[in-house]
Amino acid sequence: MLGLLLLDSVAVAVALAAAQWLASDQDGSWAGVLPLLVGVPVAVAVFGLHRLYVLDELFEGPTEYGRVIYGCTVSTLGLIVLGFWTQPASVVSSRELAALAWVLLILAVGVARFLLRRVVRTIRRRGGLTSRAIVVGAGAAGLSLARHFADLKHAGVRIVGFVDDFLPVGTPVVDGLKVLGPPSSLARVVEETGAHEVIVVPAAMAWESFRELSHSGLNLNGTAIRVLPAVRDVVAANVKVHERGFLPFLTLERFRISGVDAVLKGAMDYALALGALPVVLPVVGLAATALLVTGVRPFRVVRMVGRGGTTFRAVFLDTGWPGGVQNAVQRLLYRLGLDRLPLVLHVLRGQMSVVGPRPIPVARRAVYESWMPDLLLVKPGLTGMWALWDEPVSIDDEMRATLFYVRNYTIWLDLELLVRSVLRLVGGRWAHPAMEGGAARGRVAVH
Amino acid sequence: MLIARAPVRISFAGGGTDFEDYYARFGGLVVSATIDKYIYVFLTVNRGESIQIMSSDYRTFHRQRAEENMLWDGDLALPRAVLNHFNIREGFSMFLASQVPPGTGLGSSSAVTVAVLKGVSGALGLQLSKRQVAELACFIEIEKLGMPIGKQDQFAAAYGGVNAITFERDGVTVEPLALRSDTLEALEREILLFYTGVAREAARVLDAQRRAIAADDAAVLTSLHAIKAAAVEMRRYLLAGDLGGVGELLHASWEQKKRLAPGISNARIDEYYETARAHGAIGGKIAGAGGGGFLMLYCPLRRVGRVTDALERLGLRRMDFAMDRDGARILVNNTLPLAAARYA
Repeated sequence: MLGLLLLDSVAVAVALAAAQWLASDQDGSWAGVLPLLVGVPVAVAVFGLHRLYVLDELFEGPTEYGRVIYGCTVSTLGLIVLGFWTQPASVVSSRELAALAWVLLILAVGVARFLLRRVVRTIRRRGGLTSRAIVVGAGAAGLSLARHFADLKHAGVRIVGFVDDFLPVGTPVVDGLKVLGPPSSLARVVEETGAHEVIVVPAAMAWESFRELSHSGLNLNGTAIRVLPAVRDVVAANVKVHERGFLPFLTLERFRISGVDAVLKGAMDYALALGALPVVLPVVGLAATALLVTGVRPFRVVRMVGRGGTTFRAVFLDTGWPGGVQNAVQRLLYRLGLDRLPLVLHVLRGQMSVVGPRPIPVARRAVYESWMPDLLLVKPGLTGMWALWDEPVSIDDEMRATLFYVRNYTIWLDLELLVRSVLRLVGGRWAHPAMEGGAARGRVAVH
Repeated sequence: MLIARAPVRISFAGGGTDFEDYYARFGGLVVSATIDKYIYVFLTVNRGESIQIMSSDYRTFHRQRAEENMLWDGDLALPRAVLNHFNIREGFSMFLASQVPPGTGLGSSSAVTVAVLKGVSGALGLQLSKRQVAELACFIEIEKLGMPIGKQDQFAAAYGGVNAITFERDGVTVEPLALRSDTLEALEREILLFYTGVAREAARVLDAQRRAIAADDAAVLTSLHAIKAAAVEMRRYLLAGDLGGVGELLHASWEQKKRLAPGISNARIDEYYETARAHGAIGGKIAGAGGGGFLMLYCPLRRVGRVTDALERLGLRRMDFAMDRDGARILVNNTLPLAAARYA
């Protein structure tokens, strides 16, 4: 907390000093800097009012950055208002300075917060800065919650056990975690385990236990109590919290990726696809010509499942795999994984994304039916979790990884997968990812 | 819909001292524990002009229109008496299901009453305490229906957990026994329950017992005094985690209990019991009033396999269980408040 205050103070001071220096035509005049530094306590106070020091609400998701922008805007306005009272030694002596201060404040504090997040996440991955949590309700929802945080170490939540209405004490639930008692023993369990927070899963507990907890939970000696909405059990849809009439509502977005995330992902898709076209088109042209020369129709069309359950006709180079008799050219194209190159065009048409779940042919939709509600929330990808296995994996494992991608989507995850894909490509390991159990059977090149 | 449940119980010691004829004069003490076998009640509130009750265990269906007089007889007397107590004559549909067969000595009848009370009071928006539920269940069963039973089952089902329940003329006191976690785990592993396959009518055995107490039958009273003393010892052994002592005491109490009334034991039960003892069980008893149902045994862990094999060769079936800690609970409650308005 103290470190965060210090970090913001330094970032604000640097931004204001830089703004002053730039506004004074870089003539080396620092005369206006000192009065301007009154902005440091002003900005820190405003940040505090905008919950930028509530540690529980930081280091995850885009909300923190939104608060930074809002806080910096209010701070700049505050400095302008202060300027009226401090004449003639004005704090903000010009409109240019105000504009520069605003932009640089957002930039400096935003970057500082971004870097701090990286540090915090690294520490959390190594087991530090974690919050010990007890889960109330060890049903399917509680179990998936525990798995979620085990996968997402940088979230900084370490589940230490469960309390449950229905399972006896000592029952192993997942990954060595056990039921430590009934919900009525929560206070004791929290004390014994030293838990910092309690995560309540109403869908996995008795109505009466939930009611009693809501009455007595306030007496857990300051332990944070969080409630996981049951909607997380159903789909991984993007959920927004809105307050209407003082009641918190969860609004389900139609697709998983929306708002700023959708803009960034769209920009990345079009930039990469357009950037790749000068390479992709000649290669596809050459490959198609080579296939034609060998007497093979160069392209085949497969109807694919798109986002939201729509379908589209995807074009592949025909490598004859699987089940067909391959000639030398087809074997080469297949081995190099070039049959999927034409899919870049589908990215430009908005039907696919560069990174996303495995494209699923309509003919094989039934195999993936149980995961479809999640898969349909995003566009299929040219690459993704599914394309990065070193060894063949089961369809269950692949889908678990894909669902992790869908549920925990960030632009950084996309970039990470993109970098890993490029490294595979450069390393000559861009093979067709195989799966155990014959999930890849059928004349579909993407499998 | 509303789903409520109440657990059945195993009684370690003191059964019989919970009769009013006894405890009003001498004071009673029962040590018992609820287990994770439940009576479930599924309630729906509707706009119908009748009440409907279905029981999967008795394979019985009862429908009664609002203007008809309530008759309290048959297998569904208990839920009907509860509905009558709250003056519910229409708009309720109830389904009962049990995880143990009826009449097997685990206090399932009173667990039905407690579960129905819990469910109906929840649907009416009443927030009854554990004590209120237990006392109301006793009132309905003993005063209203005139059943010849004690009060231990209702309190056990309502409170849940391992308890020493004291019965006095001026009230019942429930003392939750704070057992060590290793003692609880050992109880779950070393107390064995075998279904003898013989369901029986507990009321006849209990009625004979109650009349013997009322008639000052010296032998019966002496046995009950000894049983109460054993309950005091049982409480001490459990708190100390001395399960060997628990087993010995169960054996001594069973010998006492057989003297309470004819029909508590019989040749078949004696054969099962002796077989278990011969293969390593230290002590045990027939759960509940006697005459059949579940045979409860204490057996050191290393002998559990041998005892189980020996009794299963005689045709018995062992029922695994864990301790219940919460007693009667409402699991789901989506009923409309209209129930409260309708029956106010």
